[in-house]
Amino acid sequence: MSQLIPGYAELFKVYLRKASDWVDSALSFFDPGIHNFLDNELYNQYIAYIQSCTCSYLLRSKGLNPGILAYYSMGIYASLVDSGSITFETGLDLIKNAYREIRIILKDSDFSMCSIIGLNVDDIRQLISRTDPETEISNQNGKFSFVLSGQLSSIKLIVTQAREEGAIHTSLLDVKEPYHSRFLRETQYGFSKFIGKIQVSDPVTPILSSINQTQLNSTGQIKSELVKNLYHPFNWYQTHINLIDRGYKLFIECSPLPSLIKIARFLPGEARYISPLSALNSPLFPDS
Amino acid sequence: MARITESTRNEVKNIVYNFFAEECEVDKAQITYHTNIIKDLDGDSLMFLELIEIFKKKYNLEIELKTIGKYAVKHPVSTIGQLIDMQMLIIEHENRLLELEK
Repeated sequence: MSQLIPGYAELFKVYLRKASDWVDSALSFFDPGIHNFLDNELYNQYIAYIQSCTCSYLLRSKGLNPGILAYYSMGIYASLVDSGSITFETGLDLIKNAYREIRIILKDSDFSMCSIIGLNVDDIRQLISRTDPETEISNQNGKFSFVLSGQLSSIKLIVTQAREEGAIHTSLLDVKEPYHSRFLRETQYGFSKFIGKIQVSDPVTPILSSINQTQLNSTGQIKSELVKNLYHPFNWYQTHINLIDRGYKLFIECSPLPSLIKIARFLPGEARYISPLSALNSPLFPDS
Repeated sequence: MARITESTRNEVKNIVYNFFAEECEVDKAQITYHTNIIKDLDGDSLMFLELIEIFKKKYNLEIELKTIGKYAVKHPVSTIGQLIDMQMLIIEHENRLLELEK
């Protein structure tokens, strides 16, 4: 856990206070044990973002300079801060405005997402076509691991049928927003308008697009990626393969929870995913 | 169809015990056939999947994940002992696992 990184708890509080002052004073009530905001999607995103920024800042301050950055889902905002493309405060504004656009588009409709492990892409496509063709594969985590977005009723049906088809693991995700799917396409207009007003710089450290695995080098590419990230499927599996093809073998997950580390167990190649704490204790930091 | 010997069973048992001891950060001596994977070890189905991958590589098994999934729906696994038994069946029958149902 990143809480064990020297300085994590103190820096997290600093960032939390900044976020509370900048975007929403309710964030100051965050407490991992008592008031963790897990029932509130927007606050949950703020907290995950603050945690990631805390991890990456600490690693940078210890002298780690990654060759490239990659992001998973809404981790795009923290990766942009680490790349030097946006400020911490701009990241908070992006989260707030993206969520506002999403809620405007969805109104009171019931959407959700699910995770299915153990079926291949053809099985998943067949499941979708015979349940609700509008449902979309919003991310592929591995050869047999997928995330789907769609109407809540369709997602529930797919989860049930996936088990009957032989999925080893299925879970209905605790979100009401169909991220990375066409259902959020309409957000592009309002969100583009907002993005047009903010300061985005060329990244100092390059970022790999999780959508099409191209390297994001310019302000224009980043702005376009920010807009697309809400409504376009991404592919973590291809991102992983692309990183390996580029010669990267060691990845540090900038989060207190080992989500990508778990996913990596089922990914091909000899690459290693490690936590920030493991990174600090590794030969990457000979003085630690 | 692979021939299952006592040595295979011991090997599978050792792999499973070592895997859960490491993954769940518990003393291997605390794990028994009756240990409940979810309640006692806080394990999950992703661990089950990882174990399958380990055995597929080790024994060069020809079996689709969904074959195992379909079998598991009818024969759910909750204890270490049940998991070992299922792994033995997978090694023995591979993609013919579902024929055991007939």
